[in-house]
Amino acid sequence: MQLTAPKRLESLDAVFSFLTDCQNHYKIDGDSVYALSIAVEEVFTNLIKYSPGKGVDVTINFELKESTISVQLIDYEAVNFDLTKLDTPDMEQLALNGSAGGRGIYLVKQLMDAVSYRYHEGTSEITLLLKVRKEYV
Amino acid sequence: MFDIKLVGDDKVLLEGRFDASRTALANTILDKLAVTTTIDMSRLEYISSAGLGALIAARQRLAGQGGKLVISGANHHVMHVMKLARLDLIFEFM
Repeated sequence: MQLTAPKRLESLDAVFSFLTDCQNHYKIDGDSVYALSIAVEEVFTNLIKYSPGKGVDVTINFELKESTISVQLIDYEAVNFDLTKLDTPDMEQLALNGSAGGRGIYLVKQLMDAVSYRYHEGTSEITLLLKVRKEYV
Repeated sequence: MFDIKLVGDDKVLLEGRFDASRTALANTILDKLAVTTTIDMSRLEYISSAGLGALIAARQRLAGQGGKLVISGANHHVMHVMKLARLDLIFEFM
């Protein structure tokens, strides 16, 4: 299944609605979809914050194959920013310092089984992989 | 859907999905807090790092005035995210 949405915060409602459609279509459990919702939001908002081309369309591809969900976010006007290579922040220190930010990509890495990144000529592809814990049918 | 309501001067009700597109709305309420406040999350379905950040900022501001934020009613998804972020170290839960 696929969604194309402009790279702006107002698209988040459409993104979550798309994930709900995918949940219903593939009959995916709530825990998995919750984890995916966090991961997709964090990556999507990261694209808004750190890449040019505000408002340019981002494509989200959702697949379920052999009990593994793959969600791919493709940004056609991106900077080369490999979020998989970011240092892992110390969550205890961030909390105790009262820092309001710096947790998004950490949550993505914690909640997903794998995250991969590719960049080619201004287009970035971030792929989130999650093994489905259980199905409710 | 997201909603935030201030009940009296020491209780905030959160409802729905607290994502990055809702922080501006949330801050219109969180910025008003001046005393120790309970954040009722019993109707909150979802929170991302942006929502957590708004709560942390409110907590920091309140702490400077001698107040606290107390979390109540968080569902297991919300609690899981808060624990991953180690916010169990800085918020009180009831």
